[in-house]
Amino acid sequence: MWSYDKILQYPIKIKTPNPGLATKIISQYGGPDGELAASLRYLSQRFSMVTPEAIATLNDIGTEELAHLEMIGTMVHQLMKNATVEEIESSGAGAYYTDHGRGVYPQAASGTPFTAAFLQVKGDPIVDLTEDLAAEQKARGTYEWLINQTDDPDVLEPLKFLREREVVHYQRFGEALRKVQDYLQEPRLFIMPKPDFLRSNELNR
Amino acid sequence: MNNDAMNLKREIAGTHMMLEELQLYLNTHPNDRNALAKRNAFVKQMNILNDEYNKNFGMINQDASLSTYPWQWIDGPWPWEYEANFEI
Amino acid sequence: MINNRRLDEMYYSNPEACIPQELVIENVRLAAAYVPYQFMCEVFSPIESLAAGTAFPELFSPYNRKDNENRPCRLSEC
Repeated sequence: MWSYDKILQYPIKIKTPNPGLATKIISQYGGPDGELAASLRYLSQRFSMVTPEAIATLNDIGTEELAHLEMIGTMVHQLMKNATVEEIESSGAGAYYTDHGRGVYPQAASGTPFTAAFLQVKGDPIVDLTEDLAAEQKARGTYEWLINQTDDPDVLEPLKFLREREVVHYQRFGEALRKVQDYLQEPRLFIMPKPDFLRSNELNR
Repeated sequence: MNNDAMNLKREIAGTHMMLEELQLYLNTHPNDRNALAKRNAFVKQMNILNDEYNKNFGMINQDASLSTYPWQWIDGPWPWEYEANFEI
Repeated sequence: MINNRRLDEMYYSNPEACIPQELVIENVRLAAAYVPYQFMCEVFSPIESLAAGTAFPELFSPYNRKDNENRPCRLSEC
């Protein structure tokens, strides 16, 4: 279960509306390499994970991604909030505004709505952790393409923060994979001594 | 929100960050005594900061903050609002 | 910053120094991926960690926008 803290993981204070940028950043809310997909991926994969280290890693990074989802939603909200309809239209956010107004809807920058097809749960620990390593790199890449598209420090700083988190998560998933590799290579063939009740049975025969 | 509240939020966010980092690290390094000691020290600091915030500026933790009358949880600003955030 | 120093240089010039990562991975198998373990040495202060996005100097690797430099040159520029 979860409990809510009334504070963002990293502060977001955007002074200048920019609806065009909002409809690009929305991709990290509900897009293919976004935070919602990340959170659902890890929180779903944890049920079939092995080793205490890897299970805890999925649980806690999946939880942190929810805090990132909230940060992205906040950025979209603040970038849209005080924009005029004229600004929305001229910045190319008209299509988004038509369907969602100034609301925050989980979709990709291309307009594709969020879908669980963005993620996978294979139920095999090596497969799932390898997907997670790739997912962190794809999210890092997305943050870099977003960073390339703005000069507003109020937007850049939280994007750089979120990008760095992907780097740290990659390291932790890599370490979790090492634990799982060691665990799966351990010999696990145990010779059980015959229990006494079976032995006495033999003697009685 | 006034400056004191913002300064306290900054400290709380910083302490949250240390906890997040040390806890993720400990998940894959459960035998690192040094990291564990640091993490436990930040938990104590977190409790002090949360209590201080709760006493002066209202609820911050859904399940741990106390509320005066009337119920304070519904009070804004919420974290996604401009006014709720501090300059880093 | 620690990530700009060469780790082996740090190691040989001062064997007592805390090395923030595993340097040799043993028993590697083919067709498997390996990330070296990180080992905590120093950490940033809480406010520095918040600003950097990590508490660990050895994991801090900021992005410097270089997209425009990496693209192939246009005919007019080559």
